[in-house]
Amino acid sequence: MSRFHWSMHVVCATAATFLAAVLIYTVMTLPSEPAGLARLVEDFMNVSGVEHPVTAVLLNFRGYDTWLELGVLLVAVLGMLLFQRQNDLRQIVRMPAAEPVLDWLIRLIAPMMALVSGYLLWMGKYSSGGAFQAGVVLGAACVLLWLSGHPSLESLSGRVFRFLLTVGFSVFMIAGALFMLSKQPFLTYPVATAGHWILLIETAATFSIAVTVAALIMGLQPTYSETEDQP
Amino acid sequence: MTMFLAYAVTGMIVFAIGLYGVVIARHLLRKIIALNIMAGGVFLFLISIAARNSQAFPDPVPQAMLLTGVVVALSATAFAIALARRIYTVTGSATLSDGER
Repeated sequence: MSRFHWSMHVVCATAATFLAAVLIYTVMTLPSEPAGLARLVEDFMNVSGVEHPVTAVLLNFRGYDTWLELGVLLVAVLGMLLFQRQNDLRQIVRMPAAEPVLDWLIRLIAPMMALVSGYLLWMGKYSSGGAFQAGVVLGAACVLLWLSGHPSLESLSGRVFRFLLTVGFSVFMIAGALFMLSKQPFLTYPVATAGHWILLIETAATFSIAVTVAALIMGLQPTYSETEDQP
Repeated sequence: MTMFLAYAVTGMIVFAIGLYGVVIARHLLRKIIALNIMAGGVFLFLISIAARNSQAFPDPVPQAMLLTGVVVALSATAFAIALARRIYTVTGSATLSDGER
């Protein structure tokens, strides 16, 4: 059977409509408590080490979420590399395209993207920005280099690649566990140096996110071994 | 408040459409796209509730959840596509079997 019977469509559509109705009713009858957790965050901003509430929540108040999310990224990229039977980005580097204009444009854009990424990382302390935005911009720069066949990715050895993949997760874990020695709970930093620790973690996370995003996109490219054993 | 409702209700509808797609789609790529549509609905809801709970600043907790969620959705999608392609390479079909041989 290649397609569902029409009655299946009707049943599913009815169920989905019912679910939508229930969800909409729930949303409409949400208690109109206006504060949420915003006030709680505001009260503890002075011990967070940063000035932007979103960064404070991400890296300090709800550090578990962010730490384990870096773990999710790591697991995703490991799974992907397993399927592709690779442990390196060099095996998926493209041949350079013989286009002088593209080459010139990449030379112009790629350093700018690295600069924007660094700026976004630094801005996380004061305003919207931080490791995720910076990492994605840097990852996009890597993808751009790869698409244009720029040879720079070939100089990234397997060891450096694997180090960059894991550095965000491990630095976050080490920084979180370090202050357990002074009887603090996991992922709690001392108030005086919290800002520095957050910057350190965010810098490591930026590189990890960039390499992860780039590897996930590049890893989707069919490899030679795969095209051979296709039925 | 009405702004919040407009976005939140839209988010819920988008979520339900995505769920319908996940169940009904046969091709794995369609299922993955439908999952992303579901995620889009949740993201829309989270960001609208952040705006609703704003005092001086929109509630940072849903914003932070959204920020991590977007990156997780991206990586999960890429992994799912890799899985789907592996299934295609091994079985020669991009749909899940019905459980009958």
